[in-house]
Amino acid sequence: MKTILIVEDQQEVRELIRVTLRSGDYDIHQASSGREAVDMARAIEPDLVIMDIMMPGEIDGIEATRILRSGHKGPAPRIVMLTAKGQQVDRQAGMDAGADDYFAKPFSPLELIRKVEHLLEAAP
Amino acid sequence: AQREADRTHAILNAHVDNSPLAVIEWDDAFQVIRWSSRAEEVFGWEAGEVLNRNPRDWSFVHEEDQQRVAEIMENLIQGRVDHNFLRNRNYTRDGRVIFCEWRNSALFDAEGRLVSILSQVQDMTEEEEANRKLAEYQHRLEQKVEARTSELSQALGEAENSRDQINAILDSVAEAIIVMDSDNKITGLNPAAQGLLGMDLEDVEGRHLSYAIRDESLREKLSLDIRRAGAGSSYQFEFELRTPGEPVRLILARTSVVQDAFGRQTGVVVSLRDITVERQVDQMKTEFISTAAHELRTPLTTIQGFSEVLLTHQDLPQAEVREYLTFIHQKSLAISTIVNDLLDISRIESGKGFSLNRRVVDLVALTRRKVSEYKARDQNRQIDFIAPKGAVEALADADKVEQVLENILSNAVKYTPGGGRVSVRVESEHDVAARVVVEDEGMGMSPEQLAHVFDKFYRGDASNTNISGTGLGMSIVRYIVEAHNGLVHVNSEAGAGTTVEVVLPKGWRLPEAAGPDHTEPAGFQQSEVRKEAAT
Repeated sequence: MKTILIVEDQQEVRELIRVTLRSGDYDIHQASSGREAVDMARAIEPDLVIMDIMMPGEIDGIEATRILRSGHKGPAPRIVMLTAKGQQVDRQAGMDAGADDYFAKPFSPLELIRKVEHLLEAAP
Repeated sequence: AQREADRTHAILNAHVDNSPLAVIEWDDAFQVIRWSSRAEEVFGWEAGEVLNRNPRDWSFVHEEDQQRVAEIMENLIQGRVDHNFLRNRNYTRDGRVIFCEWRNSALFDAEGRLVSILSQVQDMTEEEEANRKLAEYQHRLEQKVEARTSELSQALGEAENSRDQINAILDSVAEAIIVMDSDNKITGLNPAAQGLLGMDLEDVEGRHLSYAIRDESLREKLSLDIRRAGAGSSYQFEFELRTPGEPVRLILARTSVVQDAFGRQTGVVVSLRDITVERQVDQMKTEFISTAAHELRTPLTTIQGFSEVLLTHQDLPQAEVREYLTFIHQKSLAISTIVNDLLDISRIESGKGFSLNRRVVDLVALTRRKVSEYKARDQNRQIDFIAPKGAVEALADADKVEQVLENILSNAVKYTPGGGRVSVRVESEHDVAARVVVEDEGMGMSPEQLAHVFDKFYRGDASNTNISGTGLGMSIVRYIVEAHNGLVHVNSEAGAGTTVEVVLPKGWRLPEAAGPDHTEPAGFQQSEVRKEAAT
């Protein structure tokens, strides 16, 4: 079973992603901040992280991605960013920080499933 | 000897008659004894008409000259001089006035008695006329010179006036203006330019632009190559003006070629406008649009996502369906609030403003309802509500006051994370005003943030993307409250919390009319207004 970590500060959006992905055979974990995501990722070593970029606190999605990429031992997780449409600057910053792909809000749950499946298939 | 004498006499008479001058001889009684034929031509009288006559006896010397002529001739008669010279006016036989030059000489015998006076006369009328014309011409010339001089000095005065006027106009425009000649030497600098560049006109007048503008690339842009520039050409560009110890200012420069009346390019005018603030406002608006788009997108993500989940999963448990519908409903309300804020601010911006539908509103009931709404939304949130037992009424637009409460309460909750305490008080200030105070123990604001709290598009911490908002809430609050002739006051301390106080006049009595001398019962006044409000 693949492990997925959802990092998103808004409860509704987190819930939406969870509901969307629950039909698949995934072990789903949730974090509501960058700090929590970094701590949790170390513990559960997820196969895929869905990372919101705009999050409060000292660690936003881009910083959390950078930390996960640089300090990670063992197999690196696939990271897909959640950005707002039109935020090209953020998207580029996320890709530079080491994300594999991005996803723009608002999004269609079906598309999210396809993207997640595709990324996990390509995973080493 | 007699023949010899007669011959000499005849020769002398012939000479006298041939002389180009008129010759007249007078005896010791100043009577004419000789009147030459030339004298006949000049004066018109024949010798026979004037012989043995004294000039006093016929109209010969011009009246105005008679006195002078008599005095001068008396000297000759008395032997004080042996000749004289005078110029005077004489009459001719036909009454014309002629100018004559008289050369008179006296002859005395051995005993010193006057024998006769000889006068040689030249008609100087033509010369006199020429002189008179010359004098007249000279006079006219002088007059012309004088007129021209006065015209010139008037033109000079007018030029000075128009120069003063142009200077006054240049001095009074807000834009900084630099005037340069064709060699890029500064010839003018209005006070705005002096302020912007930090230099006086005296310091830079006549100096090359390079003296005033050190930055070479900027100087090149400013000093348009007027030889290459076309007629009336101008261009504009922006640059950053850096003054030590001052913030960088963004300047819009427009350089234009100056032409004289003959189309010659005589210089360059540069106008400089400080567009720092304009650009900041532009940037704020751009940021605002991006913020607003983001604010709308966040609830849209939830609405779009959950509605798709509901559509694709037919077999969801009823409880989940209800939960997702609640998410969708809440987020659509959030979008509606944002859209209302945008419409409000657009109405305020365009000057249309609000139309207030004022009625007597019980602020206690209204505020209690709003607080209950907030408590229902977040069970963990502690919101204290303190109000007097009875009603606190104000003449106000209930919907607008609700919007004010919504904006203030949402801020208090939003900026008080972790379920911190929020308290809401409704108070009556005598019979004059109603007061609503919302106090939180949240993150508060720095003095800098507090100073901008009512600015449109301003968000306390724009980098804190977790806290949503368009930055319009407090601008709208102030607008609504002031439209009610009320007051809104914000107190805040970073880390300690924020207090927002709204004061609305009760309406049936203006605050300034209230005083100890007011004797009419308030209840009576109140019912009056109720009637008015109902119509």
